[in-house]
Amino acid sequence: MAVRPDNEAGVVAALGDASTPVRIRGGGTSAVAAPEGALDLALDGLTGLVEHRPADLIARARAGTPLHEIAASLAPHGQRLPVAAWDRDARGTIGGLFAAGADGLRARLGFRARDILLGARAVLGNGDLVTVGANVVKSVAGFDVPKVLVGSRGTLAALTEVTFRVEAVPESTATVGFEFDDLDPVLDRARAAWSLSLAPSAVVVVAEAGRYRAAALLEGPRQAVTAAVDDAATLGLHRFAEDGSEQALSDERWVAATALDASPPPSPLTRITGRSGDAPMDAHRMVIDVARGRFTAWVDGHAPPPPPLTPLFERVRVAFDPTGRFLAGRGYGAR
Amino acid sequence: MGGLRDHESVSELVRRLTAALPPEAVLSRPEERLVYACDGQTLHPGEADVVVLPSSTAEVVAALRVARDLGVPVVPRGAGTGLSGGAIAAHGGVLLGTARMKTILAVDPVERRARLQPGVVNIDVSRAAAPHGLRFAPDPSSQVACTIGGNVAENSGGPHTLRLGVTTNHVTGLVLVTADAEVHRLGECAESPTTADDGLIGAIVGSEGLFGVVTEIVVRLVPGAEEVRTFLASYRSVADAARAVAAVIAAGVVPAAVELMDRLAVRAVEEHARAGFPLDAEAVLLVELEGSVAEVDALQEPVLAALRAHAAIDARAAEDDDHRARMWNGRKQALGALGKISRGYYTHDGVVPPSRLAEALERIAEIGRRYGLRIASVNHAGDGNLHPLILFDRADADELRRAADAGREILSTCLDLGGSLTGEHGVGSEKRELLDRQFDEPTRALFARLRRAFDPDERMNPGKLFPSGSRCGEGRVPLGTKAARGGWL
Ligand SMILES: Cc1cc2nc3c(=O)[nH]c(=O)nc-3n(C[C@H](O)[C@H](O)[C@H](O)COP(=O)(O)OP(=O)(O)OC[C@H]3O[C@@H](n4cnc5c(N)ncnc54)[C@H](O)[C@@H]3O)c2cc1C
Ligand SMILES: Cc1cc2nc3c(=O)[nH]c(=O)nc-3n(C[C@H](O)[C@H](O)[C@H](O)COP(=O)(O)OP(=O)(O)OC[C@H]3O[C@@H](n4cnc5c(N)ncnc54)[C@H](O)[C@@H]3O)c2cc1C
Repeated sequence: MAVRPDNEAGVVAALGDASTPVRIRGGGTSAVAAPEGALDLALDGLTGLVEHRPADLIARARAGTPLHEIAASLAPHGQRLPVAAWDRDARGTIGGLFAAGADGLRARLGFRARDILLGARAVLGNGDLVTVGANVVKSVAGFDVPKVLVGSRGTLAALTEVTFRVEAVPESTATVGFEFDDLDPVLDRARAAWSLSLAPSAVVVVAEAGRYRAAALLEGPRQAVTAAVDDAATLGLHRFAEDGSEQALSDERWVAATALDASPPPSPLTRITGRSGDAPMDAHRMVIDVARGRFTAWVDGHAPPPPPLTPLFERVRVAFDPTGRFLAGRGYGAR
Repeated sequence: MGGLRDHESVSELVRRLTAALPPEAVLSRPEERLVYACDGQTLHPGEADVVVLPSSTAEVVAALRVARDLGVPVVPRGAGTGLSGGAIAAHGGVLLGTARMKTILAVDPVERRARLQPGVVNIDVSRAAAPHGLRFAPDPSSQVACTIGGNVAENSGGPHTLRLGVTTNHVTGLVLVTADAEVHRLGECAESPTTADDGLIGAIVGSEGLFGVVTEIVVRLVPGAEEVRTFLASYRSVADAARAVAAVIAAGVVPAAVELMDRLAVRAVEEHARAGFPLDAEAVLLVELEGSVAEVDALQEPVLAALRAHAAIDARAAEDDDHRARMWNGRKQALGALGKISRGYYTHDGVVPPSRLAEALERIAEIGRRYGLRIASVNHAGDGNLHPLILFDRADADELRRAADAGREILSTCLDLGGSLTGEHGVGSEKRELLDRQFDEPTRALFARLRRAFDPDERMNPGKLFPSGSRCGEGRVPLGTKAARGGWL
């Protein structure tokens, strides 16, 4: 059975019978089809920006609002989402972004998806509608439930509304980089870029077919970006050519070109992630997010099973979803 | 599950703890325990039956096993600078202090991380990172005393967290020992972290000691800025200053810090520390820009223009480094300075949307007039985090009662304006009866289930955060039984 409510009350009603297994999806960018007998709950019918207060640096939107709609609403006020999710086919929703923890590489002040979700309304497994966090950039009242929901992939609660931090669109953007056929000097350049006095919004190393590329995204006031590009040049990192390749490395396409492979290598390659210090040297393709200390790599063979979730997390999961209905066929340990 | 007040069970508790821990780690004499009966919020004292000071995760486990076996409450405690009555033993039992867990385990300048024991003092992290050009961004005004464990438990902020985020934005790994004495290694403290660890860490930061004892922490370090420039602006009304704050943010600038102090606070600071703030203004703003030289140069004019747009008496850059240092020193000592001009004060910590700051401050002034109380105002204005300080005479029971009532009304006002009960000090003992003003019943029920996921018997830090409800043994210390003068004055 499939439902696509267009308001919050509809979500509460759809989740009324606590015994039905449920598979939640947003825009369906990466969601898997619901298994036999499970309710297919699509939340992309819950659309619209509820409020945007530029001077408070916050916006509040219904969870199914498309990412491009959010971007279009913020832009006239000179603001944007602080993270750049890769929005394939323009289907991605703001709720899906937080549920997937999908935040790409850009992080102007180091803020990731988990750092910008300030508040949420959500329906739990038992049908309760809860309001967690707050609609201000700073609050420590109650437990910080929004942080638990980020990356929960539909296994804890159905998000119906989210409040998130927004930021000013920088006046100017540039990408600087360095390419070589040996990893170490490239990694050194990337680290040097990370220490530029204009803190880069992203610093990555991409490895493919024996070539390595360091890239840093510089954003800020025009004169600051210009000065930082000059500083980078003295470190051996040069602005990507003006022929459009810089454009290709900007914003969401910058993300697509690096962390999220737009054309995933054919199987049997598998995608693995980990701490940058553990990055495999024999990967077919690898991206090190220097600023975050993480790598993503595509390697031969099958991925080792992810470490099982702990009994502690299992107890936390049950606090949100006592009957396990949101797992809908995904076993214990799903996330 | 109340405290174990009878003599025999207390001796049994002490006996078992002494067997499990080194002798110097167990303090049971009344005079030894006394200093732990209060924290920075002195209106809610509570005495532990015994104090333990373990020096390692293993010793924390040993202490928690004893408490588990005897069914005794456990209260974690750092430096006791908390301002919501979080670190006091409201129900007796074991108070577990981290004073002997002060080791900086590692500083990794390449990955920009520090691995810390919980008792490390906040400023010592930045000191250890300084040779690498790095620092720990959250800088509570209490940073020379408060601990990283306390920062994690309260999700502490500070004047400079507007731009770079509060504690939770900088924690990447934790070791937590839960009430059942189990050790949980999460995120960058784990051998192989799971995808759920970030969520668990997010829940633990800010959980006010209710989820367990944090025994190890990995934090991000950030590079020091190439350029720091500080601006001082003064205004004829608090509302004008508040409007200028909104104008700065609306100009697309997120300064490193935006602090607002009213006349009463400025006068106290000037008497105490001679920071160089103007005495003729109703309110001053201390604004700081950080970044590359070119970045700060580019933002200076828009910021000054925004500061001047609302009838500023004056707005200019700090004269030199010395002036800048004096002003920050003055700001960070504001609480202490106010303590000198009053026989008691009560620090509040509400949040309003910055766009409603002017309205909030006007309403707070009105509340002060109505209750006949002086209220000074020291605010992290950029993120709408207000610290109204209600001055009163602790010897005057009526004034004390009015101060408490006015405080509740101020926090209700913050909620009415779309804000929050607390921006950085936590709910603790102090604000727990107001929790249901901010969160509805199903949400509080989720909080309660979450707490029991970590601590099924509710033995960790009982009497905090959750409203007292009907549970027995929830005896509340009546307001005003102890001196209400800050331990920090
Ligand atoms: C091939 C491919 C690979 C990708 N890889 C990554 C990656 O590695 N990392 C990454 O960060 N992003 C990745 N993305 C992008 C990411 O999937 C989307 O940005 C994000 O899912 C938002 O899209 P959506 O609204 O369509 O969500 P969906 O794809 O519909 O759902 C994504 C997940 O979130 C849950 N969900 C969605 N909405 C809600 C809601 N309102 N409440 C509760 N749960 C909800 C779903 O149950 C599902 O688990 C990838 C996308 C594609 C196509
Ligand atoms: C003058 C002054 C200025 C202040 N300025 C600021 C400010 O600018 N910003 C701000 O955010 N706060 C401020 N505070 C409040 C206070 O300093 C912070 O809340 C601080 O983080 C508390 O640290 P602590 O080590 O003193 O913790 P304590 O007061 O000892 O404990 C606070 C809470 O943390 C828990 N806890 C402590 N250690 C652990 C642990 N290892 N594991 C689990 N739980 C633990 C305790 O149970 C308690 O609930 C100020 C306080 C004072 C007195």
